Formats: sequence, structure tokens, C-alpha cells
Amino acid sequence: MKKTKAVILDRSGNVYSVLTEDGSFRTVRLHEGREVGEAIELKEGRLAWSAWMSAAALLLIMITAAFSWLSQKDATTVAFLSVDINPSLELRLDANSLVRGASGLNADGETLLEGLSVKGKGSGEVLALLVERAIQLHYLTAEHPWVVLGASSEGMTPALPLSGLADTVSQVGEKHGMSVNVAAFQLTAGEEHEAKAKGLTPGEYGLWLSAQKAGLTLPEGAVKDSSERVRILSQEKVQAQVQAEKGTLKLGQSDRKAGSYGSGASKQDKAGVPEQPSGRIDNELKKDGEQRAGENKGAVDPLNSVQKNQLEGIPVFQGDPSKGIINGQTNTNREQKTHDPEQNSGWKGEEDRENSGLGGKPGQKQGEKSDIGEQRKSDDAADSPVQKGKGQGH
Amino acid sequence: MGFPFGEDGEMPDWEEPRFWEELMANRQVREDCLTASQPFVLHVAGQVCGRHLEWGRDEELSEAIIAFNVALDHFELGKGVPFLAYARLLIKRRLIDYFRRQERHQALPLEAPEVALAAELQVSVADFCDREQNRERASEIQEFALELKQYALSFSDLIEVSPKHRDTRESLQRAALQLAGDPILWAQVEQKGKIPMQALANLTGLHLKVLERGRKYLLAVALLIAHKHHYIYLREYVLPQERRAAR
Repeated sequence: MKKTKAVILDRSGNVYSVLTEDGSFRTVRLHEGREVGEAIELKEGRLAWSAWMSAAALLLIMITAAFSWLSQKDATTVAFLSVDINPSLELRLDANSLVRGASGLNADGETLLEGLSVKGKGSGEVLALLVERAIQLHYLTAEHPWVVLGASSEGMTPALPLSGLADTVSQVGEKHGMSVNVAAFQLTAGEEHEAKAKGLTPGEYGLWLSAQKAGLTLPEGAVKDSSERVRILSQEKVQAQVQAEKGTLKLGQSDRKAGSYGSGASKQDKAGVPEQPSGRIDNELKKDGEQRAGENKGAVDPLNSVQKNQLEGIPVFQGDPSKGIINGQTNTNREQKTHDPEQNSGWKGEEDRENSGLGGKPGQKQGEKSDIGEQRKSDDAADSPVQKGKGQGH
Repeated sequence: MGFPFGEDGEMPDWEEPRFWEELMANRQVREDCLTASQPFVLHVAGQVCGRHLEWGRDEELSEAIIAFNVALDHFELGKGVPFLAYARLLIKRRLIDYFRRQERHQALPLEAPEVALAAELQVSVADFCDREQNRERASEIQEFALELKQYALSFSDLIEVSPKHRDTRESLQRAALQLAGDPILWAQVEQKGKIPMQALANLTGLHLKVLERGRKYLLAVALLIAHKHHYIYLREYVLPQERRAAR
């Protein structure tokens, strides 16, 4: 701290006129009695400046700390995503859906994570890596084709897009020629707490809850076993319950291929025409559906078809032809769809997907009538592959 | 001269250690120094006597130059005391003693306390304590205040107009140094009581507005610098940074 030398020129009470060493004439307040002619060292001038500088520096530090705290807060975990295959693991996500950390919840989970760098990557990217690895390591097989996702993302707004993550898993499966099924559950804070209390992952707890509601009586630990999970998830009533309760159930490509493309796609398959990439088919179907929405309106009675399927005991799923997401939005929606009675999958329009699942009304149950479903009756009918087939007049 | 004295060819740089080495080793340097310092000795002796003195006519000047020579012998560099202040004190004390010896002390123009101290002729630099330096400074301040008054200025005025910005202040200090160092311009100041602004602007290269705005400060600083034999302490506070002696 620099002190300024000064000489006292004049005095009035404790206010002194001084000449400082830099040639400034100024007044200072001194509490000690000084005489004219005395050389003094001023601390006030420089000190005051220093004090201001210190205050500014302190303020800067505080602002920096606040920003750092805020950014830290942003980088802190606000959501958990559990992935249960046979390996079970948990991803910790920040508010931007970036993975802040991952940990294996069993030995296989740790094996799956071994050597993977996940921090800072997007949740979808990490999930794709994990599924790919699970396929390579034969955790995901034809016998064990299920991936159970569970999210507790109460601290995240908007909630983690589970349907998108389910798509990712499915696409990775398709890439490896595998039919991977996904069941995804979004837990509330209360359910998350309950899951922890029971020692289950969010995915396991979501499945257990759905199974319970579907009328299955099983111990909590059952959902921890991958074979048991496959058995539970294979049951139609559980699938129906999963759709009804938590919204995201995605079946693999093989199931969807047979069922979701409806009569038009089926006809091609049956005729031995090589299968087109699903995306392209989906797009074409969608385009055709849109074009023929008007002319095909009322061409078929999908309600009868659905009812027939239900009568035959085949679970009815609705989904997106391109995304293949199946959900339990409403029975009304379901009633708009055609369905291949030989397959356990179905699909519905793109917009329905957006209005369903996580994006839908959480309290809506099967049997309740959806306004959206009502509004979209004609569109849905137009989208129907059955209608398309008939409309084409083949 | 055997030693490169100050830039203006007058007194040497008293803060230069080499000068003091030369002074002790070379008699010619001392002679040159005494010659160069005659104006200072004349000024101080004149102050003490309260009248104009002349070399060869007034014995007081002989006493004063002896005192100055003693100051050269006893001065210690680096003690925080300006040599000229020390020399001035010794000159004053020697002259007071001289007056006593001449039994003319009743005619002394000095204050009583100063006279009382005059008995101590040999004052070491260490003895030149803060109290005495304060008294010296106070004396300079008092005279400076009186001089300012002649130009209708006061310390309050200077506080009010003192440039807050360092660059402006230093520019004005340099301008004041040039003004005080220019005999023609300075003579105009002393005669008319005003600064020849246009001429100074031409000399310094500073904008006329800058000089006008800092007129009072400029004049005060120029007064301190111009009277270099008088404001030994105060001028050190207003000299441009590059011209200041280490204090």
C-alpha cells in the first residue's frame, strides 16, 4: 500500500490543507493534532482509492463466485436415468440432459461402463453407446431383448424426453439387426423416493408398479432379475398397463414390421418385395396418408378392426409409423387405428405421438375420451395403412 | 568547472553521491561549488539581514559563505535532509552569532526562538531534527502564502483548482518549470502579475485552454520553482517527476 507524503499548509480544526508529493493541493481530515510545516504521510488518498479498488475486486469476486455457483448449479445433477438390461446402471444428468456421471448398479453394469467416457455427452449419445456395447457383449440378445429405462427428472424442466431415448435404443438395435424392446418409465418425486426405499432403480420400480396394477403379484425383487423382467414385460396386460400408466413402450423392429405397417406393408412383405428402409417407407406412408386423408375418409371402419383384435385377445398398441413409439394415450385414439390381428404392434400418427406419453395428459387413462383423439379422427383414419391399401385400390 | 554542475550551470545536483566524492577529493570542485552557490548564499543572508547585501562590501556575506562551506563539510547524504535546507540553517545561525558578536543582535530581524538557537553553530545533520525542519517548512509556507496573496491567490483557491487528473497536473508542472526558467516570460509575470498565456502556449506546445484552465495552479507552482533558493522544501513537491530529487 503506497503512502503519500504531504506537507501541511494550513489548518482549520481537523481539516488540513496539504501539498502532496505529486503536486496536488487538497484537504484531508486528520484526527491527530498536526502543525503547519509538518511533513506527514497520507494514507487516506491512496487508501481510499485502494479501498474502492478492494471493494470493486471483492464485488468482482462475489459476482464471479455467484456465476460460478450458478453454472455449477447448472452442471449439477437434476435427473437420473436408470438403464436396466441385465446390466443395470444409472446416468446422472444435468439440466441440459448432459451426462455428469454414470455408475454401474451391478457387476455387469460396471463392466458395461468400463472404459467409456460419458461425462459431458448427451444422454441419447451415451445411451446409444451403452446399448451398442450391450449388444456387442451379448447382454442384449434375442432372448433378452428388453431395455428398461427409468427417469426421475423432477428437477428438470421439461422432463427428460423418454420417447426420444426409446427411439435411440431402438435405432441402435436396428443398426445391429436386432429387435430391441424398450419400456420407459417417468417417476414422480414420491415414486422415486419409494423406489429408493425398495432398493429398485426407477425403471425397475416403474415396471413393478405397472405389473402390480396389471394384477400380477410378484415380489419387488423379481424385477431385478432380467429374465423375470422379460417374462413380465412379455405379458400383454403388463404392456397394456405400461402404456396406460407411464406412456412409453417401444417394441422392436421385427414386431413392428409385421404389425405396424398394416396391410399395405404386409402385402409387400408377403409378395417378397425387399424391405425398404423403414424411414423411407414411413415417409412414403405418411405422405400417402396425408394425400389420401380426404378420399379415404370413412373408407374402413377401424373401430371394428380394433374391436375384433381385442375380442381375439391381441393387445392393441398404438404408435408412430416412423418412430414406432407405442403408448397408451387413450382408447379413443386406439379406436382410430387399424391393426393387423397377427401382430402385437400398431401405430398412430406423428401428432398423436407428440400429444401422448410424456407430452400427454398424465392423468388420462384407458377408456377416457381424449379431445385430441376426437379432433383427429379423420386424420387418423386417413393415416391408416389399411385405408391406404384400400384407397389405392390394390 | 571541474565537475558537471546542474543543468543550468549553477549549483550542482546535491543528491548526486559522485559530487560529494569529488568535493572531498578535489579542491577545485569545492571552489567551483562555492562560486556557483553564491546566489543562494546571498539570498539566505539577505533574508536573515533583511536587506540587500553585496559581495565585497558586506561582512555578513563572508560569514554566510563560511557557514555554507561548513555545511559542505558536515552534510551527510541520504539522511532525508535537503542540503540547501541544512546549509540555510547553518547560514542563519552563523549570522545570528555574528550579530551577537557585533552586539547588534537587538536589530535582528529574526524571531526570538531562532535567535535562541543561534548559539549552536555546529549543527550536525542528525541534529537537524524533524522539529527544525518543520520550522523551516513552516517558514517557507508562510512566505509562500504571502506571495500568493500578492497574486490574489490562497491555499483554498489552489485546493479548488488543483488538477485531479495526473496527466493534466504533470503537464502544468512542466509548463510552470518552463515558465520559471524563461527569464523573459518570468519577468513579465513578476512585473504584470499575469502569465503571458499565448507566449507560454507557444513555448510549451500546450493548448491555450489547458493553460487557462490551470492558470492559478500554474502560477503557484511556477512561484515555488522560480524561487529555488527560497522554497527549498516546497518546490520539491511541485517539480515534475523527472526533475525531483530523491526525498
